[in-house]
Amino acid sequence: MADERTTEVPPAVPRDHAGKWIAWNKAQTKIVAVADTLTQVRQAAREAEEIDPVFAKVPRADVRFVGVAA
Amino acid sequence: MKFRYRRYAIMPSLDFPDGALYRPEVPLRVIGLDGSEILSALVDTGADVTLLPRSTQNAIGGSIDEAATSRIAGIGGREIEVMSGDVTLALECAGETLEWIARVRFIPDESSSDAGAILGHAGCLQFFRATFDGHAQDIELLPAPDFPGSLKRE
Repeated sequence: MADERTTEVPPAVPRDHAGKWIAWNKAQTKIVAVADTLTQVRQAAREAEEIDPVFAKVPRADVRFVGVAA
Repeated sequence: MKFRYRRYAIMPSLDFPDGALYRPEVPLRVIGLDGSEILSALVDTGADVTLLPRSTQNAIGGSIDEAATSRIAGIGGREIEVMSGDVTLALECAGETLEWIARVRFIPDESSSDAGAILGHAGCLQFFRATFDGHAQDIELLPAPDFPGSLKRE
């Protein structure tokens, strides 16, 4: 059950971005940059003058994750 | 603090017939001497340690303990050597901020596989009561009585 201390439901990340790094705006309502690496997406978010972006690695579309270094 | 699971569109499969993958990820602020950045971090009760990308350490000026390297491995058994460091971590939700200092492991960005940051036992989950609600698709993190950090309210 949601309450006032629960974050908003974030939008789904589209499959086009599978395997990429993305940057959300701080409210996590909009993807503001997409790139192959964290370094690149950090730079792209900076160029977009996004304040406090949230960086995320998007899961691949056809491979499921069960642990690091697999 | 409650956080909604993150939803990703993937190829439909037997396990995910609707092509939707839900993950317990939380926005984690990582704070160093030169600044901070926010990563969407997977909360992973199966992870022994907390892992962050090495480039985050570079970007924020996180401390590295050159003498404290260790090895980690996942399914498949491939081991990688990682460096340790101390950073300040913060979770922010609805006007509340939980902040604590944690020893974390920095992994090479190219080894981050399908999760950019992982909140494991050491450095994170040892300090929280975590409730995963897969049906409602949310996760609640409450600081344990021995939480070593601070809670701030706006």
